[in-house]
Amino acid sequence: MKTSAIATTQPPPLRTWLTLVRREWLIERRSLAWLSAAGFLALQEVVVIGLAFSSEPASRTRTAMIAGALWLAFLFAGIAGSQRSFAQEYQDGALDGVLCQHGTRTPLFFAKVAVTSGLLAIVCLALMLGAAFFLSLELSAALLLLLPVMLAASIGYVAVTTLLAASLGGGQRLSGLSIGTLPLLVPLFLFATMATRDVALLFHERALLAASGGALEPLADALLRGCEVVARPLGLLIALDAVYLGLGSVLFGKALER
Amino acid sequence: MLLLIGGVVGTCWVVYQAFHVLDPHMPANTFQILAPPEAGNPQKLHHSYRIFFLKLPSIYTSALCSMLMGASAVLLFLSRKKVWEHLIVACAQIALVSCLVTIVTGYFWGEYAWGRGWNWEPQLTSALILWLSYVALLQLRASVREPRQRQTLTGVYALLTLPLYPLTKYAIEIFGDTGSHPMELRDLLAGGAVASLKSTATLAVMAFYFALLLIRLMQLDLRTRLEAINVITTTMQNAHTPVSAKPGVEA
Repeated sequence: MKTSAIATTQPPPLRTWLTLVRREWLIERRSLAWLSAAGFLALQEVVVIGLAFSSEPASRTRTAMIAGALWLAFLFAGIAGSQRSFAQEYQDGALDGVLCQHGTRTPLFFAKVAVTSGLLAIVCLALMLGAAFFLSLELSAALLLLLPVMLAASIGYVAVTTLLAASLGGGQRLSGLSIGTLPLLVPLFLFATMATRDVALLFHERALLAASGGALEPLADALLRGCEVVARPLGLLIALDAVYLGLGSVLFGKALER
Repeated sequence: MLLLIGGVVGTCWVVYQAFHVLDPHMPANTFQILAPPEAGNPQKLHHSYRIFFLKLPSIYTSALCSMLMGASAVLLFLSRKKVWEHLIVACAQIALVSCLVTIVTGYFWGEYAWGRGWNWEPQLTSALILWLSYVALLQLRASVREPRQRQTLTGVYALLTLPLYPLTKYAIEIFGDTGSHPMELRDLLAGGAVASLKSTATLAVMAFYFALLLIRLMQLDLRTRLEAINVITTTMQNAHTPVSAKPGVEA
């Protein structure tokens, strides 16, 4: 009697989710597959972008182009990371154990999104800091404004790549991830680039004004103006995130069916 | 078949109606079949609106295909029937063509109205993204061999492309570029004889696309049946072949 009661009792979804988040984090920490692949590629891309723009004098065009190039770097770094992460998951058979348990598929999707988007946001932050350092991009205070944009872009990005990687299965097919995700992610990156470009331009003009000895508005006012600039693309990013997370929560289980 | 004939005849008539006015001052061998541009004045677009008799029904078809793909994907996951997968593929292929027609006609109109065909105008650019998503769906499908996995991937991808059409539709509002599409042109398309021709054009051109969709759907269904017959025939042949006659097996 007691045995059957234990067999039918299921842990609450939040607890399952937390366990799965821990599992994802442990897998990542053990191998550092995702972070090393994405981080190394991002570093290389910043160096290439830096080389391409190093001889260009600071201008509005240069600032806007760097903002776009950084998100492009983020896109490719994320895809490389996702491919390695899922390839390893299938290779080790780590997924099979989790899927044996009933009611773990949707929590697994959200656990993957939580851990991977957190890591991706870190890579994105590193990219921005790298750009500020190597390319003298005026982003120091603007990074505060761009943090929610980075997080929102990462969540949408990871939701789509996780769902598609699960649909593709393991092995060589994962190379198709880059073909499939790019058109779906373009809107996400358009909004993220819009926000980054506008904030970078705002602070670029401020820096120019400071260099010419003009009267500067207080930093708090500049940040407030930045908030107004970021609000619209951030709202659109959050709306897209909601759609992709909703689709992912419904379809992830179906995508894993074999 | 009637739909196809009606669609083809109707489309030919609309194309004739839309493009029979050729400006005598047009230089030879140019691809601009519209009146020469009045630089910088969006109100004097002359006969350029005629290209919208092809462009608008084509983007409407893309929208319809996009919605059909989403609905079919939901039904595919509920029933796992092959017909819904076929409908998604057929819709993606027809949307690929209709979206391409939209982009090309948009390019020609831009060439005339703005003096530059491709100018990263929001609606044209988002239509290109939509087109790329259809290409990606068909490419991805081709890369997966297992039928069940291919079916799942098709359904998932069809649902993921759903937000892309609203983005194309509201691109001007989202990106705040209202100057590129003058309201005068919208008024012109909405009134009088032009509106009547536009309605006829929409019906005829969409009937043509819809007929193509049905033909493609039937083709896909036939191919599946043929493959099934092929499998049965091969199995029966193998069952009736003596073991010693099989290649690589010694008696």
